[in-house]
Amino acid sequence: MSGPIDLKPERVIQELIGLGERLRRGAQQLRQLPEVQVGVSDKEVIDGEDKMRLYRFVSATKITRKTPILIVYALVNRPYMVDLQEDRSIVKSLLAAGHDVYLIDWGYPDASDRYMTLDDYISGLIRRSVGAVSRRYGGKPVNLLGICQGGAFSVCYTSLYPESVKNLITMVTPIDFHTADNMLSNWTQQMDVDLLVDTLGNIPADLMNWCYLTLKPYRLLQQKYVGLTDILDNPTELANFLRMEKWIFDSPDQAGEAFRQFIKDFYQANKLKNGGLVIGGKAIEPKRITMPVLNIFAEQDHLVPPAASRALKGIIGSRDYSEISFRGGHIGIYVSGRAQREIPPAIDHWLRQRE
Amino acid sequence: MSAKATGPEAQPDWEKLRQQWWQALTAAGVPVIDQAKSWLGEGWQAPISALGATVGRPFQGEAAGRLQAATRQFLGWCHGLLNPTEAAPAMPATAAEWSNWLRQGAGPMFESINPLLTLLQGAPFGADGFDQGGLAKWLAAAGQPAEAMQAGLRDLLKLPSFGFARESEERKQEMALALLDFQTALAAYHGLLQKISQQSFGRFESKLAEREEPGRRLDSIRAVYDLWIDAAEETYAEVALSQEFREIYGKLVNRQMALRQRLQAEIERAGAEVGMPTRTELNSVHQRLHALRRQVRELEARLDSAAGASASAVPTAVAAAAPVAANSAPRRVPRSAAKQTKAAANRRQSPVAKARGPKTAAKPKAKPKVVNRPITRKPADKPMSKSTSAKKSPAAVVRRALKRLA
Repeated sequence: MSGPIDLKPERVIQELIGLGERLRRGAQQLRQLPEVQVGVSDKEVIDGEDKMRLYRFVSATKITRKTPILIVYALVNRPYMVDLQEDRSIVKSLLAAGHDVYLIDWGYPDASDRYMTLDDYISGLIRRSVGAVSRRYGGKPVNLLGICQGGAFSVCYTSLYPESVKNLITMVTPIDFHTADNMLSNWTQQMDVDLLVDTLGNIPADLMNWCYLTLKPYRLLQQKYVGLTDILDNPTELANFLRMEKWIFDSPDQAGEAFRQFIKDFYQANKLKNGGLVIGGKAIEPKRITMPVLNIFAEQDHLVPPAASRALKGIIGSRDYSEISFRGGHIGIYVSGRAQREIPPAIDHWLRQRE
Repeated sequence: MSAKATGPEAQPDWEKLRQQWWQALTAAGVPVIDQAKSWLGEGWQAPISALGATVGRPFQGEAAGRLQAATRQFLGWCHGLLNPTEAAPAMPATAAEWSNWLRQGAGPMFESINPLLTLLQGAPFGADGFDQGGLAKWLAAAGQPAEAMQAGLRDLLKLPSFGFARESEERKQEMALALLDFQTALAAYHGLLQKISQQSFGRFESKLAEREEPGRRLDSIRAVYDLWIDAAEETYAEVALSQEFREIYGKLVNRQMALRQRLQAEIERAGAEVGMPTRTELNSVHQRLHALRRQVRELEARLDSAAGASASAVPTAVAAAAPVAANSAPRRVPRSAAKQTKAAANRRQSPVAKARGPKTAAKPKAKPKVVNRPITRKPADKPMSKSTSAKKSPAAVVRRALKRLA
């Protein structure tokens, strides 16, 4: 007779004793590992305002491409994810391909930033950054690479100032916030975001992280760490894990007003897709995006489902629209080995064809 | 095991042997099994505690803490798995029997130690994370509102107040009602999580049934655990995407905020009475500051527009702004970059200059100058230097803009 479970005593004992041994060695490894370092490429500050810094990455390779790339990252995490470590860096790959790469670092908002609006970010800081990069190229338009929420911001920015963007690239960018598989969106629908922001002011990073963890509570709060015991005696993999762990929990608070607008207009009213989005008194009309657009999304993305990203095609005016569907998740698209092999070369190839 | 024993004709012997193994696994008195159980009971405490002793590396310490908590739960689950209850003394065979076995034997994993059911305990602003003392303590200090509610407390709290302290009393009544509302929402949320936990067994059983074929059977604790996680996560996802979850979750957040808002207001009142600056006052200042900043930006844009520079691809208001690196961190910028910055500063006036005449217009830069010297990284959260802030103060920008307009 067979059954679904075949636990042999000696195997169980081996398993448990092995786990104990790994925990013992892991404790030693954790003590010996150096402090976690993130962000590996050298970079210089070329502009800034308040807490925002605009970085230019210093390349060891000759810059051969005519148009610089400006990366616009999300507000909800730190942007060093695109340059996490030597062998996991989209930035490094783009630099190696001859691109001049810039990055907006939003900094860590504090209580004095509570009244920062989406307009302040989009028509203020992104516009300022685009200008600063463009100025270095004689006022020519730049390539904009928006990631996640930064992608949604880039779409809004490009709708408002299309003349300043040569090519638009979006990565894991939510456009349709009402797809059936969007758990975060479901949770926000009955939330009184006015009450939330009026009460908390800025939205604490820990609260945001807790929401993300509870999207998959069994895996992210428990199984992930049980799985960690498998690599506890491997210093390289352990260091990689800790680096990711740092990125996940090193999150900025969210400026209250910008959060309020983002939840109401994007998550609740889905205005980016449905229309009617107004930021800073200016109507967002994605049909004004007529330059080439490359949309990259992840097939197993639990934060931004593929359908949410794919909606971009239907709202823009560009006739030159391309998609890349990456086999992986929201995080893997930046840091997995496959991502390093596939994403930067695909971006480079796509841009090369449009230079 | 001999070759003969593996043949179909030897199946009864093999099954008997499995039963013996199982008895050995679950019964006391076999030294090696007892050793393993002893390790599961107490022995694992030492290596797990060692994980926490990562002194001197705060981040590793935090990660180790999370690892500690998860492995403790996992090992608790293993312990339960190998100590079945009297209700299931025989070796389970079918998926349903296994599911039942795990539910009873490993109860703590599925019930009280289930991460889902303890979600709010560690959450910021959750049951234990609310302010410094934790909401749970606050609730304890407030007595047993749930019981009181049953005794008609709500009605009492709605009675009108009188006299000198009526306003204060009314606020306290509102706060108590908000607390009761929050407790009701919290109970509904916990009820839903409990339901998810129970439903996950049905899915787990289905998944186990798929594993009954030879070659697909689960032969390690981790494999059983992983399958249970799959089942639980899928069940959770299904419910978390439902309308019911949306409503319960929304109520939980809204009522928590309503309660918190009242608490904050009381704290602020108390602070104001002893002359402390309040959050409301600070908010007011910050709000004005941002409004002024927007006005400056608009003014700059209008000035540039008036100067006829709107045709440029470069956002012109931005072009007029001073680069930070030149002012705030000169030592961090290599000489070559500093030269570029100086040139850029000259070009700052380009939109206006262009309007005045081509001679003063900046020459477009065809190629960026590559800086190969390593640059010391600057902390992103460091505020701008005072000199920069002073130069870029709204008043200074307005003065400069007006000068340009003139």
